[in-house]
Parts: sequence; C-alpha cells; structure tokens
Amino acid sequence: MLARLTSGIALASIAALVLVGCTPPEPSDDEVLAEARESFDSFYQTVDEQMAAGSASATDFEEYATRELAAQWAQDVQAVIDDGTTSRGVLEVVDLALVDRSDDRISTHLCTDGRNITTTHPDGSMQEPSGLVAWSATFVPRDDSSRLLLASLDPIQDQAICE
Amino acid sequence: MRVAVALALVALVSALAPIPMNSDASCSPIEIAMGTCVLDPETGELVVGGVIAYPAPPVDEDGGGNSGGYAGPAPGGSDPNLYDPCPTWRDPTACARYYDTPPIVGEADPAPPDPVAADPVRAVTMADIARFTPLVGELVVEPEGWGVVGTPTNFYATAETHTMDGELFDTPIQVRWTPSSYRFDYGDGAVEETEAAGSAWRGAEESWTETATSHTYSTRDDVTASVTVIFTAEVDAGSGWFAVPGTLPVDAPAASVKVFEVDTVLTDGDCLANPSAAGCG
Repeated sequence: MLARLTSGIALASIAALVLVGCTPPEPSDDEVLAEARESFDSFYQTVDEQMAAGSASATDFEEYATRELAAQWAQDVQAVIDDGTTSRGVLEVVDLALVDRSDDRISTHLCTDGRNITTTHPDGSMQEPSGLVAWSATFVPRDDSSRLLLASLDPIQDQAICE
Repeated sequence: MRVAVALALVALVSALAPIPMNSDASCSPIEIAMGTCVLDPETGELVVGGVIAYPAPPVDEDGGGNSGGYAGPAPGGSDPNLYDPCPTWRDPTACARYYDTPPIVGEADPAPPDPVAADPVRAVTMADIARFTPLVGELVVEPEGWGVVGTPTNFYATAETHTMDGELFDTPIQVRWTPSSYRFDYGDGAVEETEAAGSAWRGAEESWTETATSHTYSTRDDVTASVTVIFTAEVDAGSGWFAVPGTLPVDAPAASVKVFEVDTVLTDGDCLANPSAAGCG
C-alpha cells in the first residue's frame, strides 16, 4: 500500500514538473493563416462599421492593425466619407497563402472578393464592385496576445492567388 | 546566362512587389476595395474611377427632366478625354450593362436609362424573394448543450453566405443571402443582437472563456436558447448583382441548454466506479 502511494506521488510530481516546464507549442502554418484571416476579417468589418457610422477612428482600427496602418486607413476612410460617397459591405477573403514567416512577421498573399460592397457616389451613380483583387499583406504579432495585427496591405499585379 | 537569370529575377520581383500607392494615381487601398480605383493586372497601372455600374439619376433642375445622367463614352474609349471604363481585361459581363447605355450623340441630352424599366427583376422586394428561404444553419451550444452557473457558456450560429438558384417573374435568377446580424435569445430573458456569429472555442485553453456571443447563466434553470439570423439579399438575373432593400429575419432551430451548478466535494474514490462510496450521490 505504502509502495503504491509512493509511486503515485512520484508520478504526480513528474507530471507536475513536466507541466511547469512546458512551453506553448509553435502554431502551425494553418493556425497562423487562420489568425491572419480572422484579423483581416475583423479589420474590414471595422471599415464597414465606420462607413456605416459616418466617421473614422484610428483607435478602432488599432485593435486589428498596427498604429501606422490604422492611422492611414482612418484617414482614407474619412476622406471617402467626407467626399459624400457611401459604401457598405466587406471584402471577403477568398484565398490566403503564406509567403514568408518569421517570429515577428508573417507575409501573405490574399485574394479578396469585393462583390458584396455597394458603393454609391454623391451624385447617385453606383460603382461596379471591385470583384477579385490580389493583395500582399503582412501581419505582426500583437504584444499582449496571440492575435495578429495587419501591418500592410497593398494590391499586387500577380493574380495567381485569385486563380 | 547570368544576365538572363538576373532579368528573370527582376521580372519576378516586379510582378510580386506591391504596387506603390499614390505613385502617379491617387489611390488608397480602400478605393481599390470599393472599385473606384482598379488595378489593371496586365499593365500594373491603377485606373482611377473604375466602372460606373449605374449612372446618376436625372437632376430635374429646370423642369425639363432631361438633364444629368452620365451616359459615358462609347465602348472602347472613343472619347480621348475619358479613360476606358471597360478595358478588355475586365470580365465582359461586368461591362455589359455599361455597353447597353447609349452614348451621348451630338447635343442631345438623353434621359439616363431607368435600371428598373430595363430590368424588372431590379424591382424585386424582400417579400418577393422570401420564398427562397435562406439556409439558416443551427445554433451551437458549448459545451455540448449544457452550461455551468457563473461560467460562460458559448453560443454560435453556423449561418453562412450562400447562393440559391430559382425563378422570379419567369426569369431565372440567383439569390445571394448574407447573414448581416444575429439576435441571440439565451432563454433566461437575456437577448443580444450583434453582428458577430460567434465561433467555437478553440482547444482546451479557450474553453469556458468569454466570447463575443457567450452568455453566463445566474441560475440553474434549464432553458431553451435560440438565434434569429438577419439576412440581407442580392439578386442577379444575368446582368449583375444588386442589393434588395430590407432584411429577412430567419429563426434557427432552438437548442435546449441544461444549466448545472458545480461544487467540489471530497469522495472516497471514483463515484462512477463506486456510486455508493462516501461523498458520492
């Protein structure tokens, strides 16, 4: 009985030591891409919300984007609003591919579908939606969580990601 | 050989490199997203203005009723002062409506085409297409249909954007349903309307944590929770997608939630193996 108890305590101690010493596993590429997609979706959802509200806020973007990108997009969104153009809907990510990955940066190519975005100009004319667009996007890890922040978003000529 | 390799590398890097914004054209990424600025994949040039799908309605300033209305240049960009709104690399169907718009001839000031008259399907209302009942999915409760008092129970809706084929006014159409918001009724009197569908807990570390759509019950009463998905719709009758005014709320099947209270007790061994042991039962 004493022997069984002793071995039980020993096993429990080993388990405790193993747990104390373990570090979170490195996320897989798929997990990183899923995080990136979630950040992008949330980011563009914020664009749509600000368009609907009729005012732009860099602070709201900073939840999903770096401070620099947030400031730039807030400025761009405000310019569209000030112009009197209304636009509702979100860019939907059709495909997302990892281009490069390091501890502090993730580079991706993504294809978006803008057909759900309805844009009306101040004169009442309606814009043909953007359709499929290929982008280069980089993400950086946020300091205080596992979430990724969108750091850059630029259109690219290479349409392979959208084919 | 080295020169060829170097040139190939330069070409590859150029193709993959982001197009510099605001170089010669004043375009922000949001303008590209909206379609007001288009990237020509053949030349890599940004075309400011994009394509106008429907012109502005007439402005009746003098009562004559024939002013205003941008009819645009003839297909192929015959007006040298205007960019070609339908370059050849674009999907021809995207420009079909544009080409149907007659160009301005001479000093005539034709009234702009009435999109509804040209395409009666554009007059459809949400009531017309409600019979194309959208797929509402289900309400998922985590853990599996139960919760614990004082601890978040996770809820999420599985509705997704989807397209259906059908017929309206004897015309084949496609209807695209998009969940725009969700009304969660947690069954204990709490109702939350949100644009978030919610999502499943990812792994053990996220279990029992608060989410955008989770709810914490304060009593042990079993409840029936439900979600109403509010859809927006677009219709395509062959001439492109257009939004149908209004929304359509659709209820997903309700889900029973058993709410437990958790307490810690000292037992003499495994209660499942020995239910009569001290502390069990």
